[in-house]
Amino acid sequence: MWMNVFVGVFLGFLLCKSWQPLIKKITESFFQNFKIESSESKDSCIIINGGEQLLESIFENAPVPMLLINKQTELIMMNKAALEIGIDTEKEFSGKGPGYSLGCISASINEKGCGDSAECSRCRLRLTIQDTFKTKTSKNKVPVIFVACKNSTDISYNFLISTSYIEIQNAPMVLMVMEDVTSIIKAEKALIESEFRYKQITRAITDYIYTILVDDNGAISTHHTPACFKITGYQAEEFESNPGLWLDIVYEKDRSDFVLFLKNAKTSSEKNLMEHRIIRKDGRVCWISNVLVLKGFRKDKTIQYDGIIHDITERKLAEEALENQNKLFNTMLDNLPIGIFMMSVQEGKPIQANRHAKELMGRGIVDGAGLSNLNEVYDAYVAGTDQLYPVEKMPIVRGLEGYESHVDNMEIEHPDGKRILLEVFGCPVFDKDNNIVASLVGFCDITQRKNDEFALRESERKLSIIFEYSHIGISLSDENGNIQYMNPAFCQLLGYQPDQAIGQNFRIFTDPDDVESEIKIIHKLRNRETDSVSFEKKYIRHSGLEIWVQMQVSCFRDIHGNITNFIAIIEDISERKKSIDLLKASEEKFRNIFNTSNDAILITDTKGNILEVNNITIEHSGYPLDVLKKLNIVEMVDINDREPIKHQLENIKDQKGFIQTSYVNGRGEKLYIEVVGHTINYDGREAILMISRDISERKIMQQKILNAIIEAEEKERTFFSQELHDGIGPILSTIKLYLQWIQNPDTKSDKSILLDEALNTIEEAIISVKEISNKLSPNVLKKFGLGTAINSFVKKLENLGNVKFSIDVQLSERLRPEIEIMLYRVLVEAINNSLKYAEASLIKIDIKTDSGSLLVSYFDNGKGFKIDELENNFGNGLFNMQNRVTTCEGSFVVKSNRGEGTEIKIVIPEHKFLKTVSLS
Amino acid sequence: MVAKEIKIIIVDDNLVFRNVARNFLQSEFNYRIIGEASGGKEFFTLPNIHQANIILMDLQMPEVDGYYITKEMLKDYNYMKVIAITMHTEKAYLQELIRVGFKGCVFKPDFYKNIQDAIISVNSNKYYFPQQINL
Repeated sequence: MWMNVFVGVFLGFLLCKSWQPLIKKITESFFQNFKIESSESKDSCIIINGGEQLLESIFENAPVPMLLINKQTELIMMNKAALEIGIDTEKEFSGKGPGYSLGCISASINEKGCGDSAECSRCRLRLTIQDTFKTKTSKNKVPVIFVACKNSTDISYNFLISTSYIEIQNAPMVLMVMEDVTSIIKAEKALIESEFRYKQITRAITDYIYTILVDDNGAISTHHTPACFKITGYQAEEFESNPGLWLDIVYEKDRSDFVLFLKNAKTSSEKNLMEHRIIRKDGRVCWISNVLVLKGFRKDKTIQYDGIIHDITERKLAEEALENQNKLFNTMLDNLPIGIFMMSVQEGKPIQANRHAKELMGRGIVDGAGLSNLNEVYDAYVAGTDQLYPVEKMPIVRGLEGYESHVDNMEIEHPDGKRILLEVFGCPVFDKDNNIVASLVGFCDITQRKNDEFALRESERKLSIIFEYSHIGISLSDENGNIQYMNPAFCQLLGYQPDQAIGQNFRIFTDPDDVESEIKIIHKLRNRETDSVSFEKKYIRHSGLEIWVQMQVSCFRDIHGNITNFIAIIEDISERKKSIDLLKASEEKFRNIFNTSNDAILITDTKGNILEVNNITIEHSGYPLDVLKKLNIVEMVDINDREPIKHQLENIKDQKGFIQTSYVNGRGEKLYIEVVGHTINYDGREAILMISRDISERKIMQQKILNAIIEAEEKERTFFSQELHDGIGPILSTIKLYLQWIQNPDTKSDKSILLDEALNTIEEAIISVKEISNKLSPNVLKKFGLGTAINSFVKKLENLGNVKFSIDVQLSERLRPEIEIMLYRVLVEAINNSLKYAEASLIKIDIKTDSGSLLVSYFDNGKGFKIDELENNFGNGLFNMQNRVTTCEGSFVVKSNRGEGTEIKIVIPEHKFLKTVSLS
Repeated sequence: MVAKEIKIIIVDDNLVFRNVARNFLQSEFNYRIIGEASGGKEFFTLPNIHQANIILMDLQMPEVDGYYITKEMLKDYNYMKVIAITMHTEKAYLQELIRVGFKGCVFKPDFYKNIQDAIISVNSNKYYFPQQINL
């Protein structure tokens, strides 16, 4: 109010210095607008009316900003307070810098504004000013917020602006008095907020307060605060109307206790608390804490209680859950497969040991066990010794000191003497403030594991020795063949350093030509056709040279059967490969010889069982290979030869066997063979290599020759025997007859005649002997040679008359005796045949030498014959002739045909027929 | 008593033997030699075979042997008594000789000693074979 007064006074003063009436007007309007309530104001008015200067000073120094605005909404005047809040006249009236201080107002007035007077301060102010000019009345307390700039800081002010219409020298003006309500609004706001918060709090509290009045018969009336609804589900009115309700809702099982609790409360003025259950209106059971205070005994002997009910269902549930959890925890603890042992800091002794711990330690919590004697009480030793385990190193003790620790060398001796090796983990147990309250250890029996570990380590050590020192290259690669590990031998074989090869694909070693086959092998492994393959292959060393290796690739699979790793084991076989190649070549060579040989070659054991044969053997024997391999050569050959062959086989070591024998082959043909045998080593055992030559043809030829010779001899013998027998025998018999005759004294004949006869007969015998002797070996031949002998032989035949001979022998010298005899016999035989079988009438014989060879040609004009139709006798004769010639290395050719006579040509080479010493 | 004259034919390829045999048998024993032949051909041309009491037959002859001639001859003259004469003691077999139809046999070397006994025995329907003959 003060301010209004001063504003009015000040305005009056301000405007009337030169315009008194105006001042008056302003002052009037002021007093119309602002009621002056106190007497002091009236005094001031008096003062205003009294002094202009004072008024001016008041206007100027009034603590309320005041502005005078003309119809064009231009600021005419302002006081110091207005200046203080940042309204700058210069600035504003130059029209620059809109948006600040009064510029804000003026801009608002000039501008159209946003059009919403309820929200927008500018609009509101503009409308108010316009309205004031229009109605020429005052408007009170329009709230306007504006932002002023003070020391370059924006400050937001809340003003209540009052406008008054005044006319100064007939010019309409509006006086704006700005009441700063910023702090009031702030305080109001704070109050509202605080109220809201308290409302929230009271709404959030579920506890309720009740009052009951009881007499001896029970409750007379109850009063429950409205919050009771939340807890009990009953409205406060329900409790009011039914005084017994408050007892009825108590859970039946708790009711007797509750009554007792009430009685107790009667005697005690202190706070009584009971936790019990109630049944809510909706039937749910919930826990509450009931605090009952005895208020006092009234005159009508009723008792008044005040109580606070607090819902503790959740706490109770939590407690229950905790309890259950504890039970669960204990069960779990007891059934854990590890020993759990706990020691309290406060008590300095064990407080908990689960079942397993008791089993492992052989005892539970022992009375008297403490920090100092823990090792003695529980017989804890350092593993493998009789030394007690140092207490300070025990994890349980370390845990008490706040450290986590782990040992695996503690042995506990049971009361029965059995020791168990334990692995112990220890850790401290903290409370919520991070203070150590206990130490906890978990432990398990690792006796078995230690043993296993030892065995494992031992085996690992062995394996690693094998791996590192083996001459066999071993490598491990992943499922794609990228090498993960290779041992030194592997590196050495391939000439790589481990770091050059690890991570590389296995293919870098593979000869490009082999890649395809390698892929096939890997494919096989992937398809699970096999788990391991072994093959020989060529690798490329780091230097680019080749190396032959025997390789074995195995694969590891996961449980799905997918390959996870490959293991390759390689062994250098270059040398072996080389020698095998040589061996192969050599074997092939020998096999070729073996198979292409014209002789049957077979290998038998020392008993004669056939082990191996060549193709010729199969061909000759007429048996298939599989049959042959079941045969025994001793049983195949001629029965007469079996014993000697058996003997020879047994003693073949000492000599080179050479056997001629015969056998009947699979086709039923009898074959003559000549077998040479040596002992050899075959497949690592003693065997006999036999080369069997088929001598059947030779044998037959020999047989034929033999037959011919025998026949010829026989023939000659027969001839001679006949000659002797028939020629000499009878003559000698005759002589004998004569001599016996003469000897007889009684003979009737003349003895001298008989003697003459005998003598004649002896003469006859002598002639016969000569003839026979000449037949055996012609004398003429020896003395005079072939030509003469033939002529002399022929002459005898010519005398018989049936046949004519033409003999032409042109030889400059004698031939070798054996050739002469041979040719003589052949020709005589031929002549005999011509006469005997061919009935020839002409026989021509030519003997001459031509270009070093001796040519003998024989011709008869007889019947002739077909060579392949020869009868045996004659055939033998012819064969005999041929044989005689060929034994002297001569050639013998017969030409003949039926009715065309017979021609024989004999050629004897020079060296055979010429005498070594030439006659010339 | 005058013995009935025995007529003999000699078949042998050896002329010298035939001569001495004829002279010997005629002059010493008065047998009558009614024919001679050097072989089969000649023998079967003899006109008086049927008159003979005894034929002395050489076994080994060049063309056809004595066995053959004897066999053929006995077909016509089955009563004929034939004595085999041979040089070959080893080739004469008793069974064969008997089967063919010989009644006796004399080896040439023993002709002088045995021929009379042989002729007499055979002529009186007895067999006569030497002790040492093969069976």
